[in-house]
Amino acid sequence: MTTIVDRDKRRITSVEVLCALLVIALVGHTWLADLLDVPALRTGATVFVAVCAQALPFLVLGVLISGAIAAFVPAKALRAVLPRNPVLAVPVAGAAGVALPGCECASVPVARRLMQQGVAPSVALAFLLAAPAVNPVVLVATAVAFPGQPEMVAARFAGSLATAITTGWLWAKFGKNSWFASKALTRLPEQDGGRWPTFAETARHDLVEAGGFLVLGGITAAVLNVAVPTSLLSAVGGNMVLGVVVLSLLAVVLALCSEADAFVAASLTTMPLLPRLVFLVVGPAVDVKLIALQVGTFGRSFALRFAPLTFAVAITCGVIAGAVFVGGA
Amino acid sequence: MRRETQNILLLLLGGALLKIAITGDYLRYVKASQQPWLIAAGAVMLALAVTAIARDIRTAHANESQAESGHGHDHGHDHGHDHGHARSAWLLLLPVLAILLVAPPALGADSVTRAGNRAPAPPADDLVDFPALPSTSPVDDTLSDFNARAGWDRAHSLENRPVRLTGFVVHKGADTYLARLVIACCAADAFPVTVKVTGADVESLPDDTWLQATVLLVPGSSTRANDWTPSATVEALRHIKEPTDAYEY
Repeated sequence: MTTIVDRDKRRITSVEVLCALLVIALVGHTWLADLLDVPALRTGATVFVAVCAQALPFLVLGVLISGAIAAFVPAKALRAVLPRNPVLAVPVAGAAGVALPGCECASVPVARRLMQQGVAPSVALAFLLAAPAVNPVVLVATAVAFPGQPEMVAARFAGSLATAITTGWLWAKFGKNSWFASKALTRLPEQDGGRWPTFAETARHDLVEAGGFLVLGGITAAVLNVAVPTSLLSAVGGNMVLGVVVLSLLAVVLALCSEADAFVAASLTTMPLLPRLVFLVVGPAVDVKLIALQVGTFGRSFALRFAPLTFAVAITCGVIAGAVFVGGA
Repeated sequence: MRRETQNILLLLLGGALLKIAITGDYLRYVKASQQPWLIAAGAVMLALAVTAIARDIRTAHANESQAESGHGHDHGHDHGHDHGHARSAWLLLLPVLAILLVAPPALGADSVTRAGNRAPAPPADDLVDFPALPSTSPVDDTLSDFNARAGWDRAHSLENRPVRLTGFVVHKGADTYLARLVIACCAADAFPVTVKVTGADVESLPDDTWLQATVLLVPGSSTRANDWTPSATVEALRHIKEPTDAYEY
């Protein structure tokens, strides 16, 4: 919306564009359905809607928490809780991730809000990485998916927490605030009328902005879900190095919910355990859906650095945790 | 994008989520326990959009009366800050259109053929004790349980027991399978369980035909080499409509 009202009145605005799009979609409805009547496209469409239906409630939870922090938690209170020194605050934030039982989509808006309230980025990022991977719901799901193999749960917990803390520390040492898009670190103007309007407006704003990127991640995941040949997996066989490479890439492209990935890992029976553990450590830390969300929330130049960094750290931590807990098997 | 458009998109998306949650169509995409989450998310979206619209209308009224009383073009505080940032919000239209206009079906045969060699895993390398099967004949069973018992049941409880399975037909190469997809959270993590079937002219049925089939396990047919896919002979079959919940858990 521009500031000059008179010019604004004559221009076609997004409201009209939206109406036109809706009319076109309604008119072309049957044509659209016919177009999608190809098995691969149908499968892709189902996966796309599934990813959205699965992730949107978690994103909503995330923006509500984010709005609540913006409106009700003074920046001072957060600073009082966290150690001043990032070196100490990073592990504290990582451990705090245990308390947010949700998928990765919920933790992105929360992490950004923490930064806007003055929490050091490295600390907020440690929370961002830990929350979806080490919470009780995910650990229980892992235990259920790998019955009789509690070492997988321990290894996943250790690997993911180590990923979060290591990345946080690396970011504290080498990260630059200038990599963040300016909007990521500036606060929304305080809404007049007090805390509730601030809460509602922050949540709405975050939801609209992040929601679009979540949808983008959903499309990418759906396309890759259909396009990546799973015959790739049988080619790997028992080769450990190849297994780690292929499964960590698969974790990125499949963009599974962290509560579900253990079941997928359990079904990859032709693979040794260690690559499957790496799959579980990499997935919640970096995947296409998450990268899309981070581009939207923190900006492109942040995501370009953060995604490869977490990918490398997660593989390393996953392999070490695997070697310690499940051995080479 | 204007705030107005964003709010309309939120209304549409919230409405679409509520629609699939209430009509039961959500079972094509996510597991049953997601229903309250979907309803809550849809309701929150509607509430946020309605609140914002109400606030905007009030602000507009206030501005108008201000303008009339001679204060000129004084814009509301909340206009302008979304400008240029929220182009991504257009993407919210895609799930709305996909849900309301296309309504993609539950995953079927195409996903089974696509899934390659993913298979349910034996809990360990050993045989396992299963609870005793009910004494009815035929026994109703899920494909997942059938596969597990066929693969690693110490008591071989399936042998010589007619079992009634529900699934859809999939052709892979020259073979015909009865299949079902298992999901943990949503359709994106679905993986297939299959039983190779012969008899009762099941080969002639097209892919995705839903059946209730009474089958007999071929003893010893489920091995590590064939990814724990048992074979069974079909004794009787009945065509059924696709169940509301097409997945197993």
